[in-house]
Amino acid sequence: MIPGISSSIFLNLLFNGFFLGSIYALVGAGLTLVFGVTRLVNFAHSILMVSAMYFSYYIWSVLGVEPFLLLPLSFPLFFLVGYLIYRFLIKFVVDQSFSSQVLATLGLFLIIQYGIVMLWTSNTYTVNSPLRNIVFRFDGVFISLPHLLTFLTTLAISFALYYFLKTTYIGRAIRATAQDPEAAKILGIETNYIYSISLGLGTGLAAVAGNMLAMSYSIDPYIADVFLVMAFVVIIMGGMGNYIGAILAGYIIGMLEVFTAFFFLPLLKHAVPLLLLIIILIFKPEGLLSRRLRA
Amino acid sequence: MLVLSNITKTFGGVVAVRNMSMEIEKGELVGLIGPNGSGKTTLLDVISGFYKPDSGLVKLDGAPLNRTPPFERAKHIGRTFQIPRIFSRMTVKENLMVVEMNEEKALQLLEMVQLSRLADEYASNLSGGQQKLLEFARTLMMNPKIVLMDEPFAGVSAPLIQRLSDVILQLNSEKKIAFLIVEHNLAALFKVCHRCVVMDQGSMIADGSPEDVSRNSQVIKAYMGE
Repeated sequence: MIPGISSSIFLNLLFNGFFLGSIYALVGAGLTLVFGVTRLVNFAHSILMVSAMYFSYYIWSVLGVEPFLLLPLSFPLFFLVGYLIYRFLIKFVVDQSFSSQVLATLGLFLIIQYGIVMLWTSNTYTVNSPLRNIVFRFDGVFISLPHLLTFLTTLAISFALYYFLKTTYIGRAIRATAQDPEAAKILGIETNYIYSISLGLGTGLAAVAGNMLAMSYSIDPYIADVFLVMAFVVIIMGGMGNYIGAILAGYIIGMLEVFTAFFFLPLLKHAVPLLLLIIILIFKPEGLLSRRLRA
Repeated sequence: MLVLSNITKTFGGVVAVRNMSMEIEKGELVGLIGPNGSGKTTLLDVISGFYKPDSGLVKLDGAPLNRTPPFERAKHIGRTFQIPRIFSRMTVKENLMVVEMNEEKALQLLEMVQLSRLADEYASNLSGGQQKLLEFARTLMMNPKIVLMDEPFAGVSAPLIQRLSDVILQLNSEKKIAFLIVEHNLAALFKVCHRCVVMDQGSMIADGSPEDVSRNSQVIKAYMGE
């Protein structure tokens, strides 16, 4: 407990931190999975999340389907998008220099962002669904249903993906390729296929984050800019390529943002995580978790 | 079974392998020796598909492999490396099950190389020699027709060399798996191989039984010194 504030305020902040942390964890886990396997720094990751927000908004506005209920559709759909992005773009730069990768993925970011502006303008949209307004209240603690669903979905997906990576053939092939692509090749693993699956999974996770965020946030094309920076803070703090580290760092940054905005200034909410990142890079440049705890 | 015809591989202006031709029959155990820099590892890399030869042809059972990527070749051609390329953040058993989700087969192979008691240990905790055994067992998960081994005895204790040699001979006699073994430990190599090919400056300078090769004056001059 923090002196000077009531337990209900503290719990409200904590639950808000869990919500935001869940979003960062999902976005960071996807980005770090892609980096860990392909060594690609994907600058288009956050705009793919925003695309999923627009997808949720569009389906909701046309058919009235809640973004949360779209998860079984949006995950495979954006998995396919990620898979195709690899096959038609990333494949050609994955073995090239870092600057080629930046140009390709940042170019894709801008194409998608301005494509969204062309289709929907820069206006802000909101999914005003009935679910958005459901709030549970216990002794002055408010938990909105979208926040609760976001947290539970993140937990479920994080464990499911961890289990997938640990126990399935494709999961082991992904981990093997991440550790040593040449050794994976001589064991019959087609690394290009594994790279495309990884980009598909990473994009699928970004889409889940987008779906969940659409239930609580207003939607505009430029949210992607902030999430791009914060996603990189998450994966650097968690250790580049470290799946568990990204999830942990996502929650740390989510909490930090919420508590900073409350106790100091909302304007500082992104600055404090960046400051923490600098401190971590000085004292533990490999990230928070040891190599052993990598998935 | 495996045929190399006039393989040449250069890096910039340096010729690593020059017009190299050889054949390995099913069930044959061939040693590949030569001084450092003679092109032995490059030749293994050409066979396993990591390098494309500038000219020449690699064939397996009559089928040309030049356009076949490494992961396709791996279905028939196993490979181990001088410094074992194990997946250190996986357990010993998981290393084998990267190839196939067959735990029973993985445990049988670990039993064969006497690593079964370490099946659930992280691979990074194994000694250098044990890591070589693990890499070898992992290669066998692929059911290869031929295994290319790069210095399997280097930095390995005498008991582990004996164990590895026993397994190679056992697999060779029981399953007719062919081996092409690059090795500097000639005493250990000559105990297992049927035939020895010697390379110097990218070219073959001798091909014969271990006894013949060890008496060959050109080999002595190039490889062992005067």
